[in-house]
Amino acid sequence: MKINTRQKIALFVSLLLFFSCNTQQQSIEVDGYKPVYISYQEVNQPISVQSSTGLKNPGKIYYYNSYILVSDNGQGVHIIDNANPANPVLNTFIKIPMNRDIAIKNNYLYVDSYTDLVVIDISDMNNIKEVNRIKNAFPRAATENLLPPKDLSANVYYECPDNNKGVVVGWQRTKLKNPKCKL
Amino acid sequence: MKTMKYFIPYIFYSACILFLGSCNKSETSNVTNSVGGGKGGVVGKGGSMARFTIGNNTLYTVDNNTIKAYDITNPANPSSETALTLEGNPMLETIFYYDNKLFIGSRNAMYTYDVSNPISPVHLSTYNHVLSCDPVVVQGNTAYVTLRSGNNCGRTQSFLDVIDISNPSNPILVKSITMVSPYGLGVQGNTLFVCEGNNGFKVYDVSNAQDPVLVKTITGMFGYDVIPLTNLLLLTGTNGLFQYTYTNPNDIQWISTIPVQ
Repeated sequence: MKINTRQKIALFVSLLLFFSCNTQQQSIEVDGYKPVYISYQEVNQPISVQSSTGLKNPGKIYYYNSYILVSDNGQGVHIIDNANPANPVLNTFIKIPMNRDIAIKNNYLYVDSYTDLVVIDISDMNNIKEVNRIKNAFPRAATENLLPPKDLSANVYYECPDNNKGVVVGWQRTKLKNPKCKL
Repeated sequence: MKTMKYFIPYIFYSACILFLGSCNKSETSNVTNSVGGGKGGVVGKGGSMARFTIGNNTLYTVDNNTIKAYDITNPANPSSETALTLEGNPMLETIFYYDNKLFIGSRNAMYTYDVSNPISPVHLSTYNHVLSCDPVVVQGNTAYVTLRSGNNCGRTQSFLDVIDISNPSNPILVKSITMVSPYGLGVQGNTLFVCEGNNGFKVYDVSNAQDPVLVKTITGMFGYDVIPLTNLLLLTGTNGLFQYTYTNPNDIQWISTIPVQ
């Protein structure tokens, strides 16, 4: 097969294009997720009680004695007075670092906080207090949020989590430059 | 122009090489998901996505490949922890207590345990299914399981599976209904509610428990999990907390919303 001058030029151009990718840093900006961190110090804080400032990222729910508890993914638990379901009242927020799960029996609320199982006395809604903590009941939590939300279409880009920045509590949708991680 | 005609195939060819050969540094790994429920006098009721549930005087939790049972007879002091570690890293995601049994959803199976002796769960059966994310709820002799597809769920189609558990040691699939993107679910009396993510939630008539009939689809919110109480439905999703009253599957009425801030 004889290669003419035009074909030689074309081949040269294509090779040039091929090598250019490997030598030059491509800058691409895409939609994706970046990790939201909380510090190692904060993640081991005891629970604290405050007024609810509204649902942010509702997750699991639990119903108990006309109250609805809603876990706000990773932040804590809202307590809603549901005596009148047509007019539920958002009252209290129990700040519980890295909380996902809730169960109640006999006015004792059981929650996870990062890797711990925590027992909270809710017999007096005006005086909610932590009464017990079993350390490292859920070692799973330490590796839990290392990926962004699932069930998204193909090619979900995300910023790779960095252990030095703390514990990943959740993910925020954003624009990413040259993300190194992809689902 | 004549020159361009020669260049086009080469440019196309080199573009293909660039696309295939360049800049493809991806990382993939696994994620966990979660579910639960409880019933009885002073015990509350959880949604199907829970990893905590209470039965008798026992708190049960699931964590990756471990089932734990805590005696909470003295509620402030969970004790007598029993830990069962399952082989093969099954990624346990949800737990549901019903009638002295635990029904546990995992990435590849529904596990059934007898807890007649509350602190010592005894394995009854492992109902295997194709990889997916799958909460389970139970009423009577029927288990309802949603099998959700997606990147980390490991399959391409989503289903609501209806499983006969008359013999809990030998669960039998009786029906599989195609879904869009199912999440949590709940059953109360003749009504089954199934969350469909971005597609709201679906209401099924389960007068015939093993043959759910779709009655209604309610959209306008992201359906994540539900708790059906007597005549009251609680639903959460990324948009807030929604409540509906119902007396039967054909009569469901919205009554309130706490929207996200």
